[in-house]
Amino acid sequence: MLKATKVLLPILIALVVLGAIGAWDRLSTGKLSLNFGSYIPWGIWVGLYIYLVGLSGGAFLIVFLHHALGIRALRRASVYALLVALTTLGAGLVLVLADLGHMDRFWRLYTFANPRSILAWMVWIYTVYALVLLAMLYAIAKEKQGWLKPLSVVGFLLVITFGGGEGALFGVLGSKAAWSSGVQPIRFLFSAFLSGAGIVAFTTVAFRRWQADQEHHGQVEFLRYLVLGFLALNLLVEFAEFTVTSYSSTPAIVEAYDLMLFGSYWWLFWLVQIGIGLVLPIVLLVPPCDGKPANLGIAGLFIALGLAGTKQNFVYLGLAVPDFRALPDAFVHPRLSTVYFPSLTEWLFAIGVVAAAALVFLIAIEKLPFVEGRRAPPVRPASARLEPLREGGGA
Amino acid sequence: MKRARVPKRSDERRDFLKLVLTGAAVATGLSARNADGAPAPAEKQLPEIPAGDNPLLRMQRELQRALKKPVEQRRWAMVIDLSKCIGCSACTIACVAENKLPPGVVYRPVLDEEFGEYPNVARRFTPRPCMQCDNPPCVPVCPVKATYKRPDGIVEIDYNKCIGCRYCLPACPYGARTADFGEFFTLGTPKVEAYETQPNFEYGREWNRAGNKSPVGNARKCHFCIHRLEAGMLPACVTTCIGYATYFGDTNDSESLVSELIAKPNVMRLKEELGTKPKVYYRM
Repeated sequence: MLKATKVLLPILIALVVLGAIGAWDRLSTGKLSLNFGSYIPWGIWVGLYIYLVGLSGGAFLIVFLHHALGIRALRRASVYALLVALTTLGAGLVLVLADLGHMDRFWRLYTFANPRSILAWMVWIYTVYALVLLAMLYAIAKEKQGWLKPLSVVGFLLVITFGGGEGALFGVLGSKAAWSSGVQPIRFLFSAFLSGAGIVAFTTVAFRRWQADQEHHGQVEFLRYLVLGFLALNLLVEFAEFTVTSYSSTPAIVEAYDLMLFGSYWWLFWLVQIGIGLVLPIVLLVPPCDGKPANLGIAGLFIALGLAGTKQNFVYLGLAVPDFRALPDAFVHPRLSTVYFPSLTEWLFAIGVVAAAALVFLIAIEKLPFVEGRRAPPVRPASARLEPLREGGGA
Repeated sequence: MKRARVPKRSDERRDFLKLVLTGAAVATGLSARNADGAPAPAEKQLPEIPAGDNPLLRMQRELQRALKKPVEQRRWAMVIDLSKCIGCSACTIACVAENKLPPGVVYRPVLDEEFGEYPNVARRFTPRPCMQCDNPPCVPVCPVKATYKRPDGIVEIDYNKCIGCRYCLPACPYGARTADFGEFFTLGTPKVEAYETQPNFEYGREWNRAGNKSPVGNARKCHFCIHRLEAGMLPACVTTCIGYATYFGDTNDSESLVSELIAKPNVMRLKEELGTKPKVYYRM
């Protein structure tokens, strides 16, 4: 077992136990102990859901680059990426399931889906995507190499669809000025690719099961350029969105941006999004700090954390500006407030689900036989292969 | 074209008495539901409305006239006279009582806004029910077709279909939808009082929130008291408005009071630029 895994396992198990307490509270008290309401109807769970599902799609990009485009440098990373894609997708969907007012009716999304609703489409696409991921895992386990390329192409098309669809989910809501923008699908897709590349870079460096050979260094270099490239693209899109929409002087957008920069969540923007998610990774990925693989791993983790904060900010700020300025005071109740901070139950369950995903990933790379380093490739000497023939006396 | 008659003070006492008697007749002889819970056959049980120019009596008569038409030929609308609204919130409370709304759920809040600087100040009260938009943004986003537009224009939520994803809440540009988180006013006290677990009759069906059943976990909103309309009664907010500031009726009836009012130039709708075509009009 890896040293990092040994250290993390008890911590993750403890966090999963805490998450189970949150889950129990959610199931036993319904939504009473959740802090979101009607004007902020989505909280940390939905923010994490869009982040984790996006991250899954981003991780799948690595799988696609290796299996469909034949980039050999990502051979080892692609296995980790597939496992990351599966675990984060599962975690995201568990979170959004827990967020439903009637979890017991989720099946209606399949049987009574509204073809005009993007959300309904997303559920169907997630389902097909999950099946593709499982099929790829099966194909790798059973060494069915011929399946991998077509599956990765189909999977990537699904990633593009739901990665952009997530942005559309918010972008189509014309009622919310801070969300309503045609750039949201692109914005979500690029941030998904960045978070996916970042977390795959982190996992391949932090939980490396292979020798630090030439192939590993090639992989690190490739991932470094990939992360830097998506970092630049994200900066460009964010800059365009930020400047153009704030310059338009639409009061609701300006108010949302003011809240983001100077409101109660100023720290989320300045410290998490900008500091951890942008500045530190750039420092770690460009000369003179770019030489060490560890720096790529840390930068990848920081980027993933920063983007998790970005998504939380995105969800909250879109909702924090009321439809009418006087609305929150028109009928006063904590559920009719535009101020939100997650409750203990929300924190516990969110942390528990993320910890469970990490736990499953670590167990998978320890136990699954096809993860490189788990077992040596089955090379049998030529003499051994001839042995049965000799025994049978047929030769 | 007929003008909407503004009631004179001398008429009001007589009309009020008629209205009280009518209201009593409605309350005793007619409920939104039959005893067995089945929808009331409108024409059979509609009370006789006395003659008079009181706007409520007139709207009551117009309501009965509309109910005689097939549902797809009705087009309900509401007109709120902002110059008459005094911000008493009687409509808000009547709505809460009628629909037995739990804590944190409100269908008709009254926005209270102040303008200007002392001594040149003004206050405006804007009741905000569901706009029952003709192009409702909340409908297409619902992933399970749990919300839809009825033939008479009211946007309905089927509580038994709603999965509680709350996507319709941010989709509404008027903030008209709230979520039911399963709270009770007396939760946390030794006993949740029985009055809180009494059923309500929204959409003409019996809903009991006890045991976290729908509408707990659902999106909820104003429905123009459809259960009252179908029993020949005006929405609770209309009948309780102490200043005759809220009007209700069928815009497919050119003789109706609301048709007269919305034809005037001093009428506007909220966020009209969005193209949602609300069926709630504001008279300035």
